[in-house]
Amino acid sequence: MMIFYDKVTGEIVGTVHGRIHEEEEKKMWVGSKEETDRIIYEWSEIKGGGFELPKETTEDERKMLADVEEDSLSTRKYVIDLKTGKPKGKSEAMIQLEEKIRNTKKVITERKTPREILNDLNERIEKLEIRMNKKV
Amino acid sequence: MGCGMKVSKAGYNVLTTGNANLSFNSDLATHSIYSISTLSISSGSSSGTINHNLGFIPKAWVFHVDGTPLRRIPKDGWWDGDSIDYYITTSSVVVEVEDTSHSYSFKVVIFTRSPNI
Repeated sequence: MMIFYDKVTGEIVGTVHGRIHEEEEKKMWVGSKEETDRIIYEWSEIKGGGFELPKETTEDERKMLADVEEDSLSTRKYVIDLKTGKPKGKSEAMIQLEEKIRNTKKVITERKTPREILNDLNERIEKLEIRMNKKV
Repeated sequence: MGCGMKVSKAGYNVLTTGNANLSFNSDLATHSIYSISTLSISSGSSSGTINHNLGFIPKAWVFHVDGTPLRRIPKDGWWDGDSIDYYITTSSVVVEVEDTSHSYSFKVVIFTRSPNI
C-alpha cells in the first residue's frame, strides 16, 4: 500500500492499493511531488505461507492499512503526523464535522432530475387546463 | 470435477484471498489491471492527478466514492452544476470537478492495455 499525503496539512490525498509493489508501480505518484509525499508499506512473505508487515509497523499503521484495504473511504479517518511521518486517527469531532458538511452538500445536490421537473410541469399544466375548462 | 486457474497479486495467498486481490481468475472475465488507487480532491480544488508514468495512454475507469453503490464517471450534472469528468494522458489520470465547495473521493482503476489496442 502506498499512502500519499499533503506535505502541509498531512491530509491523505490518495493511495495505491497492493501489498507488494514492483519498481514500475513505485513510479506512480498522486498529486505533484512538490505538494505531496509518500509512505510505502510493503508486506513480505513468511516461511510456511502468508505475508506480514515489517515488525516496526505501529498498531495505528496496521489499523489504518486494514481499514483502507476494506474501504477506500477510510482514508478520511486518518491524517499523517508531519513530525513522525506516521498516521494518527482524526478526532471524532472532526470526523463528525466533515460528515456533516458532506451530508449538507448531499441535501443541496439532491435536487429534482430533468424527468421529475418535466413531470411536475405536466402536472401543473393539467391542473391549469382543468381550471380553465371550468371557467369556460 | 471442474478445473480453472487463479493468479493472485503479489502479497496475497491465491488459495484464500478474495477475487478483489486476484490478477486473473479463469472463472471471471478478467481484464488485466495495472493498479487500483484512491484519489481525494479537497474542497477548493478543481482537480486531482494520479501519475501512472506508463508512457502510453492506458484504459482507465474512475468511480466517485461516496457510499454505495460506486458511481462511475464522467457524471453530467448540468442541472445542478456538479459535473465530474476525467482525462488520461501518457503519464497521468486527471479528475476534474465543477463544484469545488466540498471534497471528493475517487477510486481509479488503471488497466495495462491501451484503449487503442
